[in-house]
Amino acid sequence: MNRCSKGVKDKRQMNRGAKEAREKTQMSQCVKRLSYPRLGNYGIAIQYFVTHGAGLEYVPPPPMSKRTIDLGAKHSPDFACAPFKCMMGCYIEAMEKGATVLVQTGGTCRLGYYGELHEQILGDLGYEFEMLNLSLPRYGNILGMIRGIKKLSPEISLIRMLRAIPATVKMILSIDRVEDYRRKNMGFERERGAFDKIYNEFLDALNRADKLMDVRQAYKRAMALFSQTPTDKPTHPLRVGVVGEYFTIMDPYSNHEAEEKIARMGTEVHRWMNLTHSVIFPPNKNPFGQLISYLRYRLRRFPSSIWDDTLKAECADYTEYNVGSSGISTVAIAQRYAKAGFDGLIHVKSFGCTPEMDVIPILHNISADYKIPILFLNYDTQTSDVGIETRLEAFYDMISMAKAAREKETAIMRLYRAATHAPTNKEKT
Amino acid sequence: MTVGIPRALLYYRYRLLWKTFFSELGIATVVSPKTNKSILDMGCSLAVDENCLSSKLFFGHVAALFGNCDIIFVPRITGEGQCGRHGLLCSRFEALYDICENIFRDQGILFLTCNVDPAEGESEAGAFAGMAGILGKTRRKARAAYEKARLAWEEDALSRLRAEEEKSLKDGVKILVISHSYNLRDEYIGLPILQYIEKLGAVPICPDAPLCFPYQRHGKGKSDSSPGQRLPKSTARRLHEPDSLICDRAPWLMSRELLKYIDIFRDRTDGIILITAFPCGPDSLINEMILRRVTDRPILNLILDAQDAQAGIETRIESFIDIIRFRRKAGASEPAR
Repeated sequence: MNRCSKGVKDKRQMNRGAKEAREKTQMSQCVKRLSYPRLGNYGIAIQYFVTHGAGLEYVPPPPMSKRTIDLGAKHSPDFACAPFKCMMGCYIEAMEKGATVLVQTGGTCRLGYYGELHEQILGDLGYEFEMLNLSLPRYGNILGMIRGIKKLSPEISLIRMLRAIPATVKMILSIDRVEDYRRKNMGFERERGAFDKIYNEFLDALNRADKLMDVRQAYKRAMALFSQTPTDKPTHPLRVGVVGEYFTIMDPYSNHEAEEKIARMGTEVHRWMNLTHSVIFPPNKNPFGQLISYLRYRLRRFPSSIWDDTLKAECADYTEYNVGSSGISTVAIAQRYAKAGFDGLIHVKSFGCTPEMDVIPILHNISADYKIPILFLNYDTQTSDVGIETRLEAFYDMISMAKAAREKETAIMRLYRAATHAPTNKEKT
Repeated sequence: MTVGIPRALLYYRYRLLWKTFFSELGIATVVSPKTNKSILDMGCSLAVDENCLSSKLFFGHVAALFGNCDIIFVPRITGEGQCGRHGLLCSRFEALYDICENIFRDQGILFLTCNVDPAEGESEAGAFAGMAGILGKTRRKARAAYEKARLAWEEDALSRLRAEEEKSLKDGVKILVISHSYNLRDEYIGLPILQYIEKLGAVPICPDAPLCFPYQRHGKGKSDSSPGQRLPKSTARRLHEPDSLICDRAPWLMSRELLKYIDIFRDRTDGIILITAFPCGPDSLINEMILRRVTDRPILNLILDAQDAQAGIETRIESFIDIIRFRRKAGASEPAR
């Protein structure tokens, strides 16, 4: 309650009004071209939402390259985590292409403070832009965020944004399902590059999509073509699960395409963490549980709120509490893969990522208990793939030899029992 | 029963709270020895190699308590204030108990914990009262012990702040040392630096007392409190302001406090030294903000890891203080950068 005298209150209102008018004039004078850093191929869905929902221009940053990383690392604190540096590089390249509004979201780790520091550094470098920092500390709650977005451009219509949501969500779901299928099967394609051709055509179709029907058609076509593509996949292929830090796991350039590399060696690669599972659908198995998850959603724990409680219950053997950020999902999903008999796990994280560093002792215990090897990959702004490829090759050799040895042992035991007429365990009971 | 408390990380912030709480309940406590080389080496061997130095020391201190106590106290604290209003702590503290349980899983060590998570409705008072059952005490006794401990802790924080205020009134070169308390007060990390600054004839002002409580209830208007308990008006006014002048949206509680200390003491000191343990998450961003927004004072950014030789650090501190002395002689009034 403002208990100030009327005179002071009026003066404050006048000052606030003048400031808002000044900001409104500045905003109306510059064309709003939004940009968000690269995160895998989700930029296509973000672009659709901004153009069709918010009615603003969107400038996608160019695909990440050595130049992006060099720019980002040069203008970032030395031991800020790699996503900060990648985003910095993307912002600079987007502004070179004409972006005037940079978008940043919050998170439960350092990501919650990225926006303000990005704004400071880019301002010091002399760039002129506006930062739309969609993090809770800036706006307080979802109404505050909506007001912030409206302030950006008063012409933005909430109704139009809501109408664009189904197609945007469908795009994200489609991208995740197509990538999931590709990851699991691309290692066994008969004609090299067949899956990539369909995948790239699918992404082009999404880029051209104008409405929900276009997205559905692009998805159906891609899945149909995938299922028609001949593969030499064995009945029990090598299975590798990928777990780890939120940004690095979802952005192929950040993790140096580790999934594609290990898949092409002849493995079925699984990855649970994507936008579908982390932002759209809760991991509960039943609809009632999902409804409860939506009702209990807490914006200040974006994005982990949707999976926190459910996945924490799964890893009660290893953790009593939530270990922070995406850590609990790493533990729960690693345990799921280990229980399902996967041949190996890959843990990806950026250097210095505290929540993922905290779960490493837990992963060691999962590895010991379930006898599953884990490859720990740590990323910073390195530019050479060679070290990562060598480690992936060695990991693949190890798990494929271990699998061959297990299968040989099973075959020998079968022959031995047949030769000695020793009853099997089934016959004994 | 003897409860072991590792002399690392949040011990330096909460030691009086914890020790008073346990002693009010009649439970003996033992604290691990001061940091030494063997604790550091043990910590480095137990921890993931890219952990910050402070965390590595923590695990070394936990190992140093084996055989000296019945149970080791490792609380889980995520933040302070209702709904985390005062801010969050680094996510390391969220996971610390679970990390210990997993690292020392095969050694049969018992860990005692309490869950302080105000953002999820688990208050500090409730968490301490909940620990009562494990310690064999009633909740009522635990609540009374907690109230006394909290009061003693807050009084101690104010008297520590007052002590730094008094130091800032001395003559001579004054250096504001900004660092988390677990770096500043550790025998291995921070104390050698403070001692070296004193050896060079400068006065280190090292505020690290917690600020996240209603300090107004201490000493103000109470007839039995000494005037010395009250804080100077300028400091109290700054403490009243919700956020720092440097940046107002830092998510981390301890970073917010350090930023406030820069607001309070910067005009009374000649330079600022930032001490960070590599690769501290919050500091990697907050220090950058400080360097960009505080331009009227020279700032030395010291990043420490498990280095063995102090010569490099000493050289940098020496040249920093020399620069400050030269500037004072020249009567410099221009901003440092």
